[in-house]
Amino acid sequence: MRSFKSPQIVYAHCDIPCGIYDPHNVQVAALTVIRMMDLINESGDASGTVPTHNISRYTTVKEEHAELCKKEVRVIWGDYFKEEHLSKHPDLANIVHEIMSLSSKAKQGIDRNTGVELLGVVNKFAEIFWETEGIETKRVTSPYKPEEEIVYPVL
Amino acid sequence: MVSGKSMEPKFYDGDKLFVSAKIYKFREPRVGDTVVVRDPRDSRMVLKRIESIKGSEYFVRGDNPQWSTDSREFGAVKYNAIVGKVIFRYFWSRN
Repeated sequence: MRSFKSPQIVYAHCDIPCGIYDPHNVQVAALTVIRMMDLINESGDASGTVPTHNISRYTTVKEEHAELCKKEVRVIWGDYFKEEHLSKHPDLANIVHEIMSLSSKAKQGIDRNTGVELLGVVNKFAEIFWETEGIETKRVTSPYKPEEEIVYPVL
Repeated sequence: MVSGKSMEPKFYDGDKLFVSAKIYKFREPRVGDTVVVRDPRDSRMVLKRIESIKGSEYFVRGDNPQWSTDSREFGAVKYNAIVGKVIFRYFWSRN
């Protein structure tokens, strides 16, 4: 009777271990939130049918992109970051929590400062992400409206 | 040897485990057991945890569900698809 077999590989995979993580979508979503806030604030009084229609569209997009911020950060937070990243960046949990809170606040209002604050925290998140990949980053002004500062990896 | 990350943070890629094929001759598989089962689609051996049992069907799931293909995808597995239970780990791939 043979009791022991030679070691074999057991798989603990998903079918698509794609390994593709990038905070870029979060940054674009945060920029979009600011842009929508600007458009809403520039619309002024929305008493007419067309302005009401436009503001509805801006608000919908703002809502969607604030939610996208939360979703994308959740995925990177849950799937990418590991214990060793957290011990090296103990502020990461707070940053993620701030992104969640500010995204919700950005949904609730149209204060541009909230959007800018959200982008600021998202940029910090992106910097930490790229640092864990060993990739340097730079801060540049987005070449499109709302022309706010974002973090890019130097590749 | 473990390949993949669907059982993180319990088991990591490269860990080496001792798996007993005999234990289930003495007792029934239980919810929570970490088991090696045959994927019903291609018979390759996969490492999962028993999430629930209904009659002779075992629903298995990875501890890291975002990175796992398990009964949510390939359905429940039968008793005879269970190769064995993880008893202990004799090599840690981390640290």
